[in-house]
Amino acid sequence: MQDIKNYYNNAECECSISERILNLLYEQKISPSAFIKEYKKRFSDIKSTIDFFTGDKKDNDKIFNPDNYKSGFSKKEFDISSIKKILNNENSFMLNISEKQYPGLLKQIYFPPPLLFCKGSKIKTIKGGIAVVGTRKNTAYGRDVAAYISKELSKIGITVVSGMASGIDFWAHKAAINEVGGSIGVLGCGINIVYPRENKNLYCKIIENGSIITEFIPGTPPLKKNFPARNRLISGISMGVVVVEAPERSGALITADFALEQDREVFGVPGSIFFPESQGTHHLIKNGAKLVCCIDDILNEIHQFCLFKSPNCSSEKKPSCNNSTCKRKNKNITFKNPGKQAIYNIIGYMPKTVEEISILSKLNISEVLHFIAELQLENIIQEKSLNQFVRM
Amino acid sequence: MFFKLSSFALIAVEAIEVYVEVHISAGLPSLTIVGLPDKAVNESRQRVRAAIKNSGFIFPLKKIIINLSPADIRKEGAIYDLPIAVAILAASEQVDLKTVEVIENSSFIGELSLDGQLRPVKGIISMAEESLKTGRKYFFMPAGNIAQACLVKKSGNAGCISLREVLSKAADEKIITRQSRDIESLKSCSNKKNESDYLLDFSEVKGQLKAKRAVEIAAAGMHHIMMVGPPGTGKSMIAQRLVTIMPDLTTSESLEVTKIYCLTREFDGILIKKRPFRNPHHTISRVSLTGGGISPKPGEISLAHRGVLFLDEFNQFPKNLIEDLRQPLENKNIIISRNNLHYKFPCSFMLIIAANPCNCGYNGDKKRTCRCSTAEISRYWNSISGPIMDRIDMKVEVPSLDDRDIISTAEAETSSIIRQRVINCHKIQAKRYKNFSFMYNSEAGIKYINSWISAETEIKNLLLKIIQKYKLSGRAVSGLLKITRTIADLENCNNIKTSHLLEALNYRTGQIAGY
Repeated sequence: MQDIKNYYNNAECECSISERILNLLYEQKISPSAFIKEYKKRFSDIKSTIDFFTGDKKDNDKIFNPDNYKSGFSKKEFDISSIKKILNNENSFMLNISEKQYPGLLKQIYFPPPLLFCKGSKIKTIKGGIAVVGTRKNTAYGRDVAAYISKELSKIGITVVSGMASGIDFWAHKAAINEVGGSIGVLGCGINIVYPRENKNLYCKIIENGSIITEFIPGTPPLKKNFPARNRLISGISMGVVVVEAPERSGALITADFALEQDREVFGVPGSIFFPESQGTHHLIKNGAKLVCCIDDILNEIHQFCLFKSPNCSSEKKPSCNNSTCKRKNKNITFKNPGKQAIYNIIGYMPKTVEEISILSKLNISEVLHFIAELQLENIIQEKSLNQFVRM
Repeated sequence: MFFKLSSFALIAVEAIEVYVEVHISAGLPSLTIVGLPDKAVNESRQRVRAAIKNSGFIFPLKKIIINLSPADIRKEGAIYDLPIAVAILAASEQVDLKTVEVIENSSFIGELSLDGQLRPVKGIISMAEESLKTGRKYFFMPAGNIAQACLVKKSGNAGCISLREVLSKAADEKIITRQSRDIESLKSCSNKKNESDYLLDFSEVKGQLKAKRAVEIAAAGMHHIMMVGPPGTGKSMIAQRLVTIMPDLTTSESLEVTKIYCLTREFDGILIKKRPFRNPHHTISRVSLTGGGISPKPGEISLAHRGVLFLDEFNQFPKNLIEDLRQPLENKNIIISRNNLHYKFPCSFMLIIAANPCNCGYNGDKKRTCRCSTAEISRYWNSISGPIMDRIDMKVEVPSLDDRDIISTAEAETSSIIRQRVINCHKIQAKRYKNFSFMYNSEAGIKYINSWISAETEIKNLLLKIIQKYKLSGRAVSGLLKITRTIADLENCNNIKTSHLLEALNYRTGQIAGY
């Protein structure tokens, strides 16, 4: 009985701590970095930190002068009560840095946000995820890689972290939310803003098996400067960052930089040397990022994930092409119909157009189209982009 | 003194009979026209007065009232000069009794110049048809119109150079019959000349096997089709060659088409036998697309009747303009209401649309990368009307050519070979639908479509699989089956087979449908 009472007291207490931090940051406009500085100085004692700022207990060494801690950039007035209302309406909650449920890995980074705005319960249980990031303008290949890696990771229970943007981020989230590991999206805007708008569906779905987090106060628009800050959270929450496709100047590379700063693993997925979309990842690999061609490459690198070993990988020493991706590729199907067989043989893993298939198979176009539709219906091949087909 | 003779007024493409009544009475000399004449009709007072005098007749210096009845229909254009002039001459007893009898049994149309010469008028075919229907013995018209009028199988069309010739022909009926016989023989000569071949040919289109096949199917079943692809891959080229693989118009169809064209200025008086191909630019106004104006004129959709309407750069067309196409696509005609009249123009056309896959044009291209963001692409596709997309049965991608294809000199199938297959397919459909109000697979109703697959369990099972995989709607399924039927007809099969259905699937699903 006593325990339960204590628990409730604690809960109440922690809730009020979050609210007090909210007041400090957005009503008194203490800059978050100053807050964290004082917090660390006080060996992570949240109460004394808050007391220092509110001036309840005067610190012996320093006399509190609020002007020293004012944040420089936020000139905007915040209405705390309306923010609280938004948080209640949106079914979201706050996590402060002193809470147990605040992601442990995030506490370790140089400048963790004192307050996280969250939605969905995944964030409370995350031990360490893998970030899958990349360009917003991906190729079909990038899309497949992002979806494949995320799905496989999520299947064995690893949470996939990404930035809720379009492109690679979108495909990573989308593939991960349907498996056990779930997904966490880190926003560069307020929790009540869906950006980009076409991710609305994803935004609703991700909450069911994952969460959305942001350090920005509700109502913050997706400003350009928010995104590098968001990237530091993406890598901060994760044990490693997989860069799927990134051109030479890409936000994904900023995430990779943060990952190095925060002592996280960096992985790069190789692409074609001719694709501008893969130049950034190749650059990373050249500088020492680990080349990823199956998820075992990721799992082997991070010792905490030993428990998560994928079933296909029998021993670490075996060459990694024994993994599921390669196995699937070697599988050949035989058909009774010679025409269908011919077309199946022609369609490989590089996209081929209908015209090419028709010329190579020497079949007329209507036969080719009929077999292609049949193979598509049987989920053996798929259309990559305009009129180009590959095996699944 | 009273006299009445017959003439015509045009309402949309149809002509109705109008009576020109003249009453000459004593009083101050004047000439009044009543019966809702427009400015051009009213001005005919001056032309008629001068023409009568310059033709050597006497203009009666009396009070003249002319009524164009029925009086509640607006009369337009300078076409009533001739009937008014003839009526005045008859009423003032300047022609003999025998001629008056001929005049009473005839219809007149024509614009007069001041010296009494006759100028050609518009819409003569509908008038000739109406004159045949009303049972008038002769139809007097300007000589410039006679070739068009003779497209309607009727003797008694009399083309005249001047007002004088009208009266001399009315006096001697033999000249009329002799002349129309001459014209018949002249017409058969000119028709042979009309059958010259097209300048374009399908063999000029390189690669694009799938798109070409799709267009062939579309032409065979008159399915609306949309082509999506990056710039410069041959979308417009294919569309322009579409008419070369379509069968010529049948006699009744060509008369329908010619009737519409003879309302426009571009008509040269020869029976149109080839299917029209209309390619309006996207800056076209609403009225010139659908038809309209104070006195409604046919728009591009009516000029494409029985032929092809090609909308290039489809997304550039203003949205409200595209929405206007909804009802005409469904009803095969457009009704324009002005004052208390409804003008009905036929517009049974095959729609062919070309568009880029995104703003920069290279979305999904294998050679160049697209510069558009996902939001831009979805905005781009959202700007294209859903209901219109829904009515388009076939969607086909026209991707960029293979490097080898661009320089290849291999000859592809010529238009005439493809046209032969399309003609066969049209014949099969004409036979199948001879008891129905529609002519092509694309127009078949849902009840009829179901009868195609009711007996085939194999097809039904496959169809179920397809619906489950691609999550097709009811309309999409019937569209799919219509294409399937056309593919089967192209192969001369009575029953549709699974291979036909699977091929048809290629034109429904795919990348574009996903956006």
